[in-house]
Amino acid sequence: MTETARMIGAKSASGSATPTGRRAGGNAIDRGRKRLFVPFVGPAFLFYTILFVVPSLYAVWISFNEWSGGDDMTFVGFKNYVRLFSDDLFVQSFVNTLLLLFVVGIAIFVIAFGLTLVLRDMVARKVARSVIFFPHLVNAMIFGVLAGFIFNPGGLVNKLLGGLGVTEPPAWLAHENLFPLIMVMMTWITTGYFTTILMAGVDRIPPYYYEDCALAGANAWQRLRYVILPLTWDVFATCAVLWTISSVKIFEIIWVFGGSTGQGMPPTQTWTVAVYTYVTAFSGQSIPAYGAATASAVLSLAVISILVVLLRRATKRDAVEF
Amino acid sequence: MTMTELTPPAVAAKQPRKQRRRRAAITHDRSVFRGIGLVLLWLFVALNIAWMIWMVIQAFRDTRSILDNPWGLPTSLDPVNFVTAWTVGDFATATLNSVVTTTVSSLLTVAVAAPAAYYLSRVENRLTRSLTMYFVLGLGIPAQVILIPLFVMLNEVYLTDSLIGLNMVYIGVSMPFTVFLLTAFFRSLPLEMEEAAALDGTTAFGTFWRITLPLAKGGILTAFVLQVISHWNETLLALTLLQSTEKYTLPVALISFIQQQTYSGADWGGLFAGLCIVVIPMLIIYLWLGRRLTEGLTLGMGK
Amino acid sequence: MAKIRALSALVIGSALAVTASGCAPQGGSDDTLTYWSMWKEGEAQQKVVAKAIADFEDETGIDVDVQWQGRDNIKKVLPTLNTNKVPDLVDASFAKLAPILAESGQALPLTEAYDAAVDGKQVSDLIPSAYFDAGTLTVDGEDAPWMLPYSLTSDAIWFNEAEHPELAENPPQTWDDFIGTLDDLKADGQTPIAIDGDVSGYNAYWFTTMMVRLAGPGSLKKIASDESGKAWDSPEALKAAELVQQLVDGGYFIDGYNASKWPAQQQKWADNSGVLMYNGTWLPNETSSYAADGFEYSSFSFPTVDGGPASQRADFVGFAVPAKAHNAENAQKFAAFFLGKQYQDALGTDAKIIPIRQDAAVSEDMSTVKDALDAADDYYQQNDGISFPGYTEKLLWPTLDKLMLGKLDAQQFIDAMKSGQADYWKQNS
Repeated sequence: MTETARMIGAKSASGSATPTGRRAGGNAIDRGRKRLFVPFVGPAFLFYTILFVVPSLYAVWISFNEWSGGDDMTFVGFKNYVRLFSDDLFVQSFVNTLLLLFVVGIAIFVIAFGLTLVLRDMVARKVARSVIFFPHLVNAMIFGVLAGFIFNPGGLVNKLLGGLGVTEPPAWLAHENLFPLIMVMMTWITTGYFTTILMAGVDRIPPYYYEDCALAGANAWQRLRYVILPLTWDVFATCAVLWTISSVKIFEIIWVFGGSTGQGMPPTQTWTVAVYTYVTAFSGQSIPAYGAATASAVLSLAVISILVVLLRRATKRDAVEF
Repeated sequence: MTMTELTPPAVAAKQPRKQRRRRAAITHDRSVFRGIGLVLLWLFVALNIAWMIWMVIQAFRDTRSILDNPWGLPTSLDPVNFVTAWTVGDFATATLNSVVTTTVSSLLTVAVAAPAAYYLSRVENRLTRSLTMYFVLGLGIPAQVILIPLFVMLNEVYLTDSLIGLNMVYIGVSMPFTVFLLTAFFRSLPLEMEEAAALDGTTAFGTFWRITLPLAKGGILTAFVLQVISHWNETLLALTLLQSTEKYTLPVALISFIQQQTYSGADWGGLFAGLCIVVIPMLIIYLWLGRRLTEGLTLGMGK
Repeated sequence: MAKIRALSALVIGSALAVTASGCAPQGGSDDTLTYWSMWKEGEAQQKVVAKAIADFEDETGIDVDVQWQGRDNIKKVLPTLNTNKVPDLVDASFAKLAPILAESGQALPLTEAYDAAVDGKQVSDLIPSAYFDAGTLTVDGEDAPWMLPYSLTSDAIWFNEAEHPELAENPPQTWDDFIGTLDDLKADGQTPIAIDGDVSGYNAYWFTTMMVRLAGPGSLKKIASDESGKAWDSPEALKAAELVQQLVDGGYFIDGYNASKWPAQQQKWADNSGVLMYNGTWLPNETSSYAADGFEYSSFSFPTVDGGPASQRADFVGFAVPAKAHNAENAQKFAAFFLGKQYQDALGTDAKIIPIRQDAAVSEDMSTVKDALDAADDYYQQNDGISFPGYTEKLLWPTLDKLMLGKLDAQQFIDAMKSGQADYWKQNS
């Protein structure tokens, strides 16, 4: 990916792709620079370490304890983890997180890749690309709220269906339909983002490859199979890692999906691990269980780590240098 | 690999662009699928514009008419809903908090991350390589992991329920992405001018300050705006770390406004106005810097 | 821990110096009080509280730092309970306060508030003894209740008297009458019952009230505290579930109640698209802004079942003081002050809720409920007073939702509760 990054970065920076020869610019420069180590890297290192790394390690420690926030922290080993998996709600939240990760993930990639192929050389592609990217910049919560109006019995969709003669529209917002709807909304608001990234990958395939294809008499499928896919493989791999990380964080859209619930928290059928963590610690319904809450968060981190390692293993060898 | 068969050695040498030939090659496979794809794509584009227009339109209607006919149009451009959201929903304070928090934390994030990224991109040894890895690892840690420890730690130093505390958290949490983005960016800048300056006797810091920074303006602006966007939308940490209403940022105020409706009667018009207040600044930024942002994101989100 | 503390302190130290003035703990001083209110700015109740605060500040010189948090205030208080940011005074319903403050030992006994004198009487005498069972509000071993209620919520079956004067004249008294009324309405082409099926609390009313009608107040709580879950085999529980199922199967509920988002259905009800709505005493307040022209709120109480007792729900809303509050004394002063007659009257007439004092005024909308409360033989609380942590939200309500939305029949519901409850107690004992 660094390769991609450098190429795109160079384009955006100066318009001319300057390969970076990193020669030593003389010992004097290096020595001068080295003196900057503490003032330059120090602050970033401290902020990051104290406000991000230390809390993460601390989280792992808390997850082995029973703790309600007071002074009495008791070490309980893996009890929190064992308890989590005997809690149906957690298992459901965990399954939901995996559903978002895999089902929505696959949907996004199929659609984004399809869009990329269409977008590649159509008219007004820049406009189209910019438009579909925008939802990524909007708090997902907004879409959660809007969903309530779109799918209410007297809402946008049913009025539209009514106009088309559908008299018995589905019960969109019934509890069991909420999570599938959330998955659809997530697909909608995330596809544009990944399309943009994939486009960046497709765009840098030099045109002469297509010409060769034409000369060799390759059809569209062959071109896809032998040119586009191999050459954008590393971008795909990056996107997969990105989605893995971001899908586990999904919280806002679920928290307010469909607007108010009248109870201050979403129906349990829609919970993800992130929601479970928040509710277990801060729901206000019962004494906080920091240990169990943190254990569920740490588990989501473990899922990310395992999947990222697996993804990188699986995708590494296929990348093509050009 | 199959690729090698398709690529005769001749093309490896630089070939002038031949747009016309390429187009001709492509027209061959304009198929039915492509037609369908185009239609779907434009529908998708339309959907992405329509929701926003619809949201803005509803912000000018009252609750009863929104419910009667969600497809209806407003009868006037009276901004009464915005006034309600601004006063009753207390979006005024929240907007101010969000603007200040977002600006301050994003500025500081970039100010702290840029020198680090510069150093990591210019000095290459085992230490900097492992430091770069150390920063990058943070990209994979979801915010919910640090939620509770942060709460406990900040409380020790009286920084819960404090915008200063929230700002510091945002800076810490933004380090991995910003350092990563800017490192990639600094690497893409040419070294020649820095070397020349160094030969002229400019100090290392002077080189960074007078030569590199001006060159890097674009990249730093991108990094800044990307932070603005993510801090503006950040919900989970703000929801946890802030308790007093006068410290709410916009997403927290919006959640609170939605919950308030549960008890004091629904005001959907006001809610839509609130949504607009959250979305429209992002739209303005995007219209202003759109291309730069998409490029920055596609560049930075790697790894 | 100590290391983390030292490290954080080191880095954050400079920032702290800047903010010390703003963020230092508020403890120590005698003339302040931090109050996180359950009301939001602009609500009728909030205006009454705000007026009381202004008067209180004038009278005592105590500065009240009030946060209009809204109903999430207890959620916000929870993480602060062990911190230096804990507020001195909070208010909420009994059901919200009990698990968080009382059952975790985080509530202060309000001895001073109950001993205080308001309008020449002692506070403990102002709260009608019929409602007031001090036992429920007192933690074992303490000498005073931890909660000082200032208003009551109850529930009733609401309708528009302007459209249905016959219901006001001759409300259905028994379950059979009630079903008869529903059938008549249905035959007449009207929608008998409107309900927002996505709000579990509203769904739960039907079953919990039915249980109380069949087996008396406290019966559901007793079943819920059985660690084996076998108590659900009681014939009353099955009967109650069957009667709820009768409503579901009878098709009396408004179309789309299972697929809408609150407050869609209560809006329809207020617009005369549904005749009856079983809801809390806040319903007139909530719906008045969009009710049809000429809407006259009236209500009757939940019918008696099989000649069982006619008790009424009476939930306390009131103040509590966290155990670690810095200004507990001032907090109790204000809590007692708010029981003054003029604020109680204002709660009744302006805010249209039911004040706790028997001598306070009540609005026209609430008169039917108030009469029912006065006439009742016995009282019970929401969810029959169940306050085991997580029990209602994670077990009772989700399972009741399924019964109300027709996903489980009565027997399946009982079975689900039986096994769910056994699991619950295995995890929580």
